Amino acid sequence: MQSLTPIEPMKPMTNDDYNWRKFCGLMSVMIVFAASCLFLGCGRSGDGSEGGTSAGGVEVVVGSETYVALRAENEALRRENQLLRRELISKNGRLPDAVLPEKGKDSGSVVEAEGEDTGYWLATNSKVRHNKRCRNYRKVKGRPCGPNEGRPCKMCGG
Amino acid sequence: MVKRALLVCCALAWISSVFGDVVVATWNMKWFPSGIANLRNEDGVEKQTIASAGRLLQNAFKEQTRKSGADLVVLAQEVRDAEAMTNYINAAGINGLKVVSVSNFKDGDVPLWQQVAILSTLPVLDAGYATWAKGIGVSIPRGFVYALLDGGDDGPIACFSLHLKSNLNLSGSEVESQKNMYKREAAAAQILAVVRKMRDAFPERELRVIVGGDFNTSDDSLEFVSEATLRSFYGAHFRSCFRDLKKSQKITHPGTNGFPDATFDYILYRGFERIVNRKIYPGAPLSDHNLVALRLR
Repeated sequence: MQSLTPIEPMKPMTNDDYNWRKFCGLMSVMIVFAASCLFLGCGRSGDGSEGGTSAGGVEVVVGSETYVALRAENEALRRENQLLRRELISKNGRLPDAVLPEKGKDSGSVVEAEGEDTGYWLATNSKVRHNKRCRNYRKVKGRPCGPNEGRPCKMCGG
Repeated sequence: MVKRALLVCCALAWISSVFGDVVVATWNMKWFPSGIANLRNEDGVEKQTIASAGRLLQNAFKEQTRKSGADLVVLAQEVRDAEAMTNYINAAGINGLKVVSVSNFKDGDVPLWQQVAILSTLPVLDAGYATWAKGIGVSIPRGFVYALLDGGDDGPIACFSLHLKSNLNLSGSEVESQKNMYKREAAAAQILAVVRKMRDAFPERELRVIVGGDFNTSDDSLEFVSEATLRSFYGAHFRSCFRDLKKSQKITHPGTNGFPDATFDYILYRGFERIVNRKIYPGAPLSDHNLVALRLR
């Protein structure tokens, strides 16, 4: 079994050490800043207005050729994605661009029923009870009913 | 004498420049007038909502026509029925504004309470509504309402109000998300097919077209980067009302519940010379969408 070497305790930092570290830190910040300025300056073409793109609020300028290539690639990916989406849904992978929508017909939707208006409506088929606030009240086939008949509608509470 | 002639000329030029302006507004009114999905609200609450919504439209129209008069076209979405729209018009109190068309989309036999509508002060040549075509691989909810309005000497104006498929995705699957996009793309393709047909009916001049509503997509969001809905309109020479605006200047659907601010409501137009004025009016607390209004010349 190997014996572990004990870790030396840290020496307390002197004033000189502190100043040197501070200087190094400042220098590295300045170098990074200068390098970024140089990089952005080189990328600017001609009047500096071409090939600009924004990333997180910072104006990044790239060479116009790269910019054009990226745009073309982006457009190709978009088209590919659209095609995949269409193939996922429609059999021929095409949009129904020649299909015209179907003109709406205004057929009467109010269900006329005899009897007293109790404020509740029982749908004949589903046996669901609707109250006056509901979209289905007197709009589905049914009859007026009491407050406890049938099952209450999940939307209006019957 | 020359001064007077110049003044008359200037006045005539000004009159001719503002004559034929159309103020267009679009607003998703959030289950108007109840504000609750598929349910009626208390009478008092609904009356108050109608009154407030009317005031908002009135103020927007006043601001847009402060310098000179103009006609108005309102494209409304998520409204209950024609009665709600009539009450809205009465509350707005704008001279000559009338209901042009309200859809009657149904879920089975029951009318939806998410109808779309067009209101206008212009004379109506034709109007109606249509549901999206069936048998195209998917079922697209609702449809659109259209109107051919008499725009005077500049010719007719074709208007469309639409509310495209939402981004509702209960399963959270990518397939569902792609289906939603496809439904919007397919709807846009159908609108463009109708526009082409209408343009063929008026070959003698450029037909002015306005398509507005809740598109539920955005042209500057990464989420919809591959979606062609809006781009298909731009490809057909439509222009967006938000052209050249920054993202922060065109928020029509303020973010809530962790969702970011979005631009879902657009007015797309073609055949008009330019936008004279455009503004987004906050729709809260009546709706989760803002009202978008602009003046077209």
